[in-house]
Amino acid sequence: MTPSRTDTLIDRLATDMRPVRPLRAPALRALIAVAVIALVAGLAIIILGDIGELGRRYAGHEALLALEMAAMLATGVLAIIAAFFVSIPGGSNRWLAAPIPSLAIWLLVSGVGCYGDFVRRGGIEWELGESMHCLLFILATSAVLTPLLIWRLARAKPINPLPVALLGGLGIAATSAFVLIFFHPFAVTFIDLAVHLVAILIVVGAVGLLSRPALDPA
Amino acid sequence: MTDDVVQDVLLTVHRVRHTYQPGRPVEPWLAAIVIRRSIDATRKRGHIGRREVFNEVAYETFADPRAKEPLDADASRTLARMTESLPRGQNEAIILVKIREMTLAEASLASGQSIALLKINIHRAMKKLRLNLVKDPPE
Repeated sequence: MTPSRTDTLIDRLATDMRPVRPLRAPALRALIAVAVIALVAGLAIIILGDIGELGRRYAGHEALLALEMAAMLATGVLAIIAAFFVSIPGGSNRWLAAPIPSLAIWLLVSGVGCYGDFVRRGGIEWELGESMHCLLFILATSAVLTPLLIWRLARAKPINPLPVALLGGLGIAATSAFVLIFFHPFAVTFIDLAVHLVAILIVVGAVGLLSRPALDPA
Repeated sequence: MTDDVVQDVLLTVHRVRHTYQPGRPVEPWLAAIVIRRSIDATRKRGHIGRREVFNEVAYETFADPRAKEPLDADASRTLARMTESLPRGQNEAIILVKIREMTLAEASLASGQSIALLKINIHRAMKKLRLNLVKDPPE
């Protein structure tokens, strides 16, 4: 009997088989990635940001600001951790929902802040103005951080790269928006919130489109 | 199709074997790979099905398959005559890559020609065959 194509394939794969070093646990790999990103972002904030000015700008709204920043940071960190868990075959799909509650809180708190601004000013200013800088800032920060994260995620050769890329993109975009707060010259307005959202969607969309070529899926 | 999925699963297991966490159950890991490759295969078939029409009758020139044989033989004779006129290296490259549909790497192993030489020979052979077709079209 001649061997089937499947048997031939098994023989070929078994002949080429070499021992591989197993990847470390996804939680550990995620924490290392988060630590490196935190180091890069932290250095940028300490060297280039003005924390005192941030306090003055948001005087009287500290609680709202702290909640918004905590929600952003949680969205970023949870999305990055989730990306690492989803990249491994058999990782729980529940990780896909991990960043959603903090994302909802972030959008809600930003919305409340914008509404306060709207009441104070008595209307919406439809000028893009400084918001364009925000867009560029989020895109530029993401462009620096994304290759770093993609490089680590690609080690797993994810069998389904799209959710991994979308979570990674969201993680990076949320982290960039968090860093932006330290450089933001004014309290968030409606148009500004919309621009932030557009920037985040651009980052998530771009990383999603790049998922196949960048993540080296199996 | 089942065979294709089984082979895809084997290749994937081979490529991502470093993602298995020693000490953890192997079933969920393997099941995730099998499910993913099955979904991919179903999607691929869906894509192909949307773009291509399979009409078995269209391939039949005659109801009796034996009636087709003289035509097939004619075609191979014409092809053989055309490729025989090529220099040896070009003839070999065309037969291995274009007629037997080997990959460049396989053809290189079989013929001893380097991949670059195979490419050059195929290019030259195609050019020559095209010219010959214009000069001397087969009946």
